[in-house]
Amino acid sequence: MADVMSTAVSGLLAFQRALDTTSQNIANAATPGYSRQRVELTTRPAQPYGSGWIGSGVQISTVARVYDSFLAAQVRSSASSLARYDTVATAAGRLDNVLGESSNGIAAAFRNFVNAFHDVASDPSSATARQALLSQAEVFVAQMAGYDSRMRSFASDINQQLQAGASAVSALASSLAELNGQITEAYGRTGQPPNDLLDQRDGLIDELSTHVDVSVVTQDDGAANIFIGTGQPLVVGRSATTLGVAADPFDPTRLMLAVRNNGAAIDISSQVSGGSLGGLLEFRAQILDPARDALGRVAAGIVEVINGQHARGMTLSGAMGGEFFAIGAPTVLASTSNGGGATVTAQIGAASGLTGSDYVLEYTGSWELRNATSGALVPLSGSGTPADPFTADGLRLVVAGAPAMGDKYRIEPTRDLIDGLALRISDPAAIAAASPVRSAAAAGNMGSGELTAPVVTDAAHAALRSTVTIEFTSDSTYMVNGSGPFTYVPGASVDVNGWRAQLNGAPAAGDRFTVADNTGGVGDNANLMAIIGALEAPALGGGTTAIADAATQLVSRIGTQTAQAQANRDAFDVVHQQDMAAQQSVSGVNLDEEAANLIMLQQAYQAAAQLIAVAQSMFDSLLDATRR
Amino acid sequence: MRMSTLGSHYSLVNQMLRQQSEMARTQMQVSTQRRVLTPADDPIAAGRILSLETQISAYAQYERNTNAVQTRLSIEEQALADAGTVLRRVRDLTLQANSGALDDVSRAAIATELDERIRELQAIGNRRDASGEFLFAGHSTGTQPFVRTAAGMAYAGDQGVREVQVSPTQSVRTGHDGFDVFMDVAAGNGSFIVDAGALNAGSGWIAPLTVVDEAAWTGGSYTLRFVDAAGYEILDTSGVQVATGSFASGDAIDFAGVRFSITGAPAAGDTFTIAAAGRQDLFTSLDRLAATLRLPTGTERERAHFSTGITTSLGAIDAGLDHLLDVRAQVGARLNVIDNVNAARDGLELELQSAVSTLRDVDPVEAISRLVMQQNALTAAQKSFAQFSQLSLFDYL
Repeated sequence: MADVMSTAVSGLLAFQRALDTTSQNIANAATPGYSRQRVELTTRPAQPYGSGWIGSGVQISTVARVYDSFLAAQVRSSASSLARYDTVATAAGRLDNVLGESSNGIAAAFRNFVNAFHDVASDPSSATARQALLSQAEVFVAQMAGYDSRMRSFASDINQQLQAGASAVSALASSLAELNGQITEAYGRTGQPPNDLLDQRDGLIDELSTHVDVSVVTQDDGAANIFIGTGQPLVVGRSATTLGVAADPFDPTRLMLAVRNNGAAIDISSQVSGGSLGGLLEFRAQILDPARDALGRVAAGIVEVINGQHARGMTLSGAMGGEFFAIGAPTVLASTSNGGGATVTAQIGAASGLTGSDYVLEYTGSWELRNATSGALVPLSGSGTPADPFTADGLRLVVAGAPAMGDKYRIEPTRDLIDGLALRISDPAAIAAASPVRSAAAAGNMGSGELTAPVVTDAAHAALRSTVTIEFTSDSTYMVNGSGPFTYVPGASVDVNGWRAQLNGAPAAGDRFTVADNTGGVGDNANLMAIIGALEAPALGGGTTAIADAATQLVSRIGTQTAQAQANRDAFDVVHQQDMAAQQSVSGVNLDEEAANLIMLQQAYQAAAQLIAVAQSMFDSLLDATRR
Repeated sequence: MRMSTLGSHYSLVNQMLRQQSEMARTQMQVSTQRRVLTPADDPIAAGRILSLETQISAYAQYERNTNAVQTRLSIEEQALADAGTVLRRVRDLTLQANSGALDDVSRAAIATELDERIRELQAIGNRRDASGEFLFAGHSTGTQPFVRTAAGMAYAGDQGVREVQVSPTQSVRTGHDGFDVFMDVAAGNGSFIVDAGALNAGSGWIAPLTVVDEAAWTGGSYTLRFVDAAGYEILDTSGVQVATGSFASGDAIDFAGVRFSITGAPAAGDTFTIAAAGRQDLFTSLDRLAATLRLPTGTERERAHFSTGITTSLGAIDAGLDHLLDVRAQVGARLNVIDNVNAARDGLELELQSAVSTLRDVDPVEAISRLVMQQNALTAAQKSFAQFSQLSLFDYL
């Protein structure tokens, strides 16, 4: 009887706890991160009797959390990747929208600008066409500056997001360290797992994994040590590391992820690849910086081509053309750890040599230039003095002052060029449409010889616009300004005073040709035709890429990168949902299951209660029997 | 697999969200009629589209360029036609003046009309194009090219001709300079010129006929001198006798590959010159004609001078007409080039447009049927979600 009673009571207590747990499961059916709990029932030790072992009821060994740490790690890993590619895809998509629009993107801006040159070439003395060209040039400059400032604002957004992300990670780290303490303490006190604290910690780690890639190592005392990136400890037991930002050693406006260790900030950006922070770093290094470099390179090409040819032309007022655009200079950033006092200045030497890469110039007893990404040595020619600068990859570098051993300078050739892009001329008449010199045959020439229009090869030649007379002394010899004679062959080039022209046809003795100042030549468009030709010629990439193609390449590269990031995001979205489903299938609450459990436990509880009634009636029977 | 309630709820919701975003994309494609909305949708196609659009835009520019060239060349053609009309009228006047029935007064009247025609020709040379530029001033389109000075008509323009690009590979000259059109005209019959000596006493006058042997005509200068009324000798520039002959009025004289005739009765000692044709501007030719028309014709000698002058002038007018025709033919050829370029460009533009359309535009039938399909799928997902949510064991407790 006593045994029946105590067995029944053990059942009642066990089923009550089990019903408690079921109701907890039902109540938390919609709680994110909740792992269903299960009461683990075992039989109580049986009592020996002569006839054998009689059971003595049920006991609760533990309330277990149904949880698989392998599945949890998979969910975190896919969450990290998803957050990374989502960040890259979102940011790249914004850039893609800015640059790629076919009606007002960079390619269209360049097209409209070139067309305006054509319009002036058709009607060089028209003030309207000239004004339209200037307006279109202004629009072009404004559009380039607009892209540049959008991309700069992306860069400063990234700084802010890194800062915000780092402080979110730090806050999570300190919460996790605190939870570690509570969990260790609860374990130590009861020897039982504090399920809800564990769920809470897992939830925080899941959240952490969306910021950065994490790995978790659980200790025997229940604490979890958490590492980020490739193994940087973030939480060890009850102590947390603060993640922050620090300026790039070359560029104070560029923030990097860093941990503080004994007061010194250690840059861990290269170790972080996952999560939204990894995505931000990847977008900046792989997409944004190259895009800015490429856009700057396009601008450098346009400016070099137009300025170079414009200076060889003559304006409406008869002056030489001069510069059409102004543009910035390559950025040179000294490392904060430099010890010497050398200064390095860089200029674009030839836009066609530009590669779009960054470089590091280091003093190791002599100056060495390396590609900043690949680390490959770039051969330098020249001596680095203003008269004989170092030249490499389209750059001209001048060093002055005394460097210390190991001093480094980062050179970003084209990234900030557009910052200085501006129109140099504001007067429509200052567009140099005409050639400064023109050729003419003398009246009364007897032969059929012709002198082509002279092409300016050296705009700075002092005697460029002086009159030059070419006189044939026979049908096969000619004098140039009285010197000579030169032998005539059809197609012969005459190179004088910074211009070049060809003699063709069959001239007769005594025929004269002159090249003279193009005074009053307001209807001439020769220089514009040269500019248009040069803009369509392959001016970039070592003479392989036309400017319009470079702009198109920039757009399609960003499109490709965006498409790639979007594809990765979609893929990891699916992977992440599968991982979540796998984890949920183990740890999630199923209400039908709980309902079934509820029925079973309720029936068991009712049966155990009936046992007590049986024990009561057994006891009553015994009392009745002994009352007589 | 065991399903958790929350998990199946999420997966159903996610499914619907995904279907909705796909539907939104399709809807966007249908409403914009574009398959490639941003370069990321199809980076390779986007790159092609950009370069095709660059070409289309370039061709639109070439079309504008050809229109400008066409306008300018048409204006030039009209000017050349008008100049031709003037020269033909001058020719008629000259023939009229040469008829012999006219007295000095009538010829002077013709000379007055000729002066008017010369001014008309000058005005044609000073015509402007649609944007106010002087047509025949070369590059100096702001400078009036033809100005009369004490020494005759002067050309103040230059010999520049501008070119405009009309296709990726072709540029067309947009006109001719005034030197080329009015100044650089072959003198005489284009090969040689003849003249009578100013002091000739007889009534002989000379007319150039033709070149009979291109190879023999070396282009030197010669003087034909009458030894007596029936015989002549031909001297070169050093005075060395190179040929002799006997004279009959009006008969052709062949010498060094050229043929000319002397008519009338030259006196002994009269000289005529034969020289290589140089270049002479139209205005000088016409000015000389005007001067000839004002010459007195009272004596035989005077009439001979007059006849030589008229003959030379007729030759110069014919040469001028030929020259203008030449220039007009060049203009015509250029306009023809432009027509060809236009035709080729129209075809190419259409091709480029359709290439862009193939790359960028959505197939509306496909897109709309896709939209309907996606809509059906979403409806099904929504219905099954509602059904699925209603299933619960708790309903039976």
